[in-house]
Amino acid sequence: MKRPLFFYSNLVWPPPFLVWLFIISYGLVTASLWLIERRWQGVGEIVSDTPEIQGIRMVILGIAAALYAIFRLMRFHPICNQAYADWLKTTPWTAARRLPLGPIHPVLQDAIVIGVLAAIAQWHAHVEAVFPVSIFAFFYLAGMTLLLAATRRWWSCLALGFFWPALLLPGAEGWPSILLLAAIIIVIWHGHRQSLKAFPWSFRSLFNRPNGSVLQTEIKLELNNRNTAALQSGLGWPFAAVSPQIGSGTISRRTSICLSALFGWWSYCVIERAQPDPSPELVMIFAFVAAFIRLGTYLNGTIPPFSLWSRMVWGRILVPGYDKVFLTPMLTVLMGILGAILIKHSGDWIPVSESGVFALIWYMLLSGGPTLRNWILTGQHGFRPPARATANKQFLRPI
Amino acid sequence: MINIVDVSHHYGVRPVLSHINFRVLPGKLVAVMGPNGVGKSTLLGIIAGIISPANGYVEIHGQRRRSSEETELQIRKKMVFLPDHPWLPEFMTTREWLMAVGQLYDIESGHLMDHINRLLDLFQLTDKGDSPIRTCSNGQKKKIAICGALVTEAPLLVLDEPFTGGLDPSAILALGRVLNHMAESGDFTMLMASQIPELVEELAHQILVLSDACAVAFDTLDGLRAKTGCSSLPEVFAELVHPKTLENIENYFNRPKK
Repeated sequence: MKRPLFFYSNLVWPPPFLVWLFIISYGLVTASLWLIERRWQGVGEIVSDTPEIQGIRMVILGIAAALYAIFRLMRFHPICNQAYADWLKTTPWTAARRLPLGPIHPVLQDAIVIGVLAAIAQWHAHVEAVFPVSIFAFFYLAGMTLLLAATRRWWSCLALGFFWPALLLPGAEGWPSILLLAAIIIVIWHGHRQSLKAFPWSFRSLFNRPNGSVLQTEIKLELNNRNTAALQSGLGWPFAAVSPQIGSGTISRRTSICLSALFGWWSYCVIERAQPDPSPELVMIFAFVAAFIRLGTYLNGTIPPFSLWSRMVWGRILVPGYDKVFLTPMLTVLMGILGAILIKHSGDWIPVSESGVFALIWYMLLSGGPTLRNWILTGQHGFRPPARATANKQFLRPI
Repeated sequence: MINIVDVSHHYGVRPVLSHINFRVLPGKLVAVMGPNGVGKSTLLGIIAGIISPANGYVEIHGQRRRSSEETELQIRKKMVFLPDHPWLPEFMTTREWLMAVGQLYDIESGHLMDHINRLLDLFQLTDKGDSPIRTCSNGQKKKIAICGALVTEAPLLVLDEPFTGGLDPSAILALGRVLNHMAESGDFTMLMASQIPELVEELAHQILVLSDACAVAFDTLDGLRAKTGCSSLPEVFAELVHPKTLENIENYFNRPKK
């Protein structure tokens, strides 16, 4: 039996709890003002026009628009609902058809919902009508960007990673900003189409996993996907250390370049926008912290082959198989120091030099050897067992 | 084949293994014996890839450990290590954990499920199969760890004190029979640290005896008997490691009367 269109459309309307949340919160403010007006005639109107009350109304309208945008994505995108994705796999659905539970792209109902919020903003809250519209658009587009990452559309994400911060640039006002927004929408639309075409995905959705223990879920996943490496770290001692499959991948040179360029571009846009004082110290601190984090990541769970004392006693000051892990962090710190000197002497080119140094530090951290995989498999180190598994305490200390 | 070449290791300035050389041939079970604290677990840890030796190296089927990513992964796929004190993720159920371990070694799912059921039956763990590991006793956890090593079907097994850790007599019997069967099949190469002479006599093709950081003997039981002139393994062991043990025992009982 064909169901009337209304029921399909009904899915896109905001859920009752969101509607009630908005009515209660906005209604409370309005009712309070009405009571004040009733008690002290004329005061209510004065209070109503104060920036504080307008601010509260703006916040309520903004939150309502943002929550509606998030709801639209979370409710209808299969990547946000594993049960939905699992069910969809069993149907003849393809990207050429409509998604059965409802569309992800904006539809007429969205215009009505946001139109109502805009009307309230314009005629009741005395806030610009464009405010809830822009909040909805921002959260919707930003959410779609994140969902593209969740569906592994990396090239779309990379393009968006360059477009989004460009909106911060001082020159990106008026027509350029409209062009940028158009580019963002086109990339999102294209990436979204591609992600749906790639369905069924080989990865899990973000939410709504089946009931049961997390591990039951993981095992079902691994049985399906043969990607047991992800489980390796949780399998206890000694499988976590000497597993025949390793979850840690290697970051390719291309990925390193893309991520470093992206980070440099974000830095440049932020610096251009905020025009802060030159901060070579910030670059140095960043390099130190980043080097420390990389070192911590590599050394986590490992034991050095020799303690400092043993190195001196046995005359093995350098242990190349182990000491290679310090090379990239040391070069990163050195780059931070040299970068700070460069920034100090770069005059009007500070935004360029600062962001360039940031990008180079990132590149060094991501592409500097050894890779984590190489280090785990070939480094001259031992593995630290969990404290509870150490009857042989000597495993825990370097020799 | 496991080839240990000139392996030395020390904790601080104390040598714990000194120039250890021996070779475990395919299809053989070698027992490692030695006094407490002599370095048996360290040696097995080095062979298993848990510890990086200060000197020397380990070769598995002619491939040197940690020489390259591919080699190391190939070795890991062929070898399983059962430490003396394994640590299991306590929030997983026994079956979940065994499934995950089997999958690490690319065991086909149907075969894996069947093997897990047989292992759970063998070690009287069927009731605990679907319970979180945290609800198991120490002995049951040891049994689960043994099942984890066996479920991988790895052709190289490195077992550190597999018969200790609260195993009940029937589990010791079952494990002994399983290891015996594996040793007789010739498809598995095993290295086992054990202090239980009866089991070593029954199972081991060769025995490595460690003392004072050195390998003092590596031979078959008959070879060791001939070398020491003793008949039982405890006497052989005492002769090789503590030659004065029998004399000390005599002295203890023949103390002068007051």
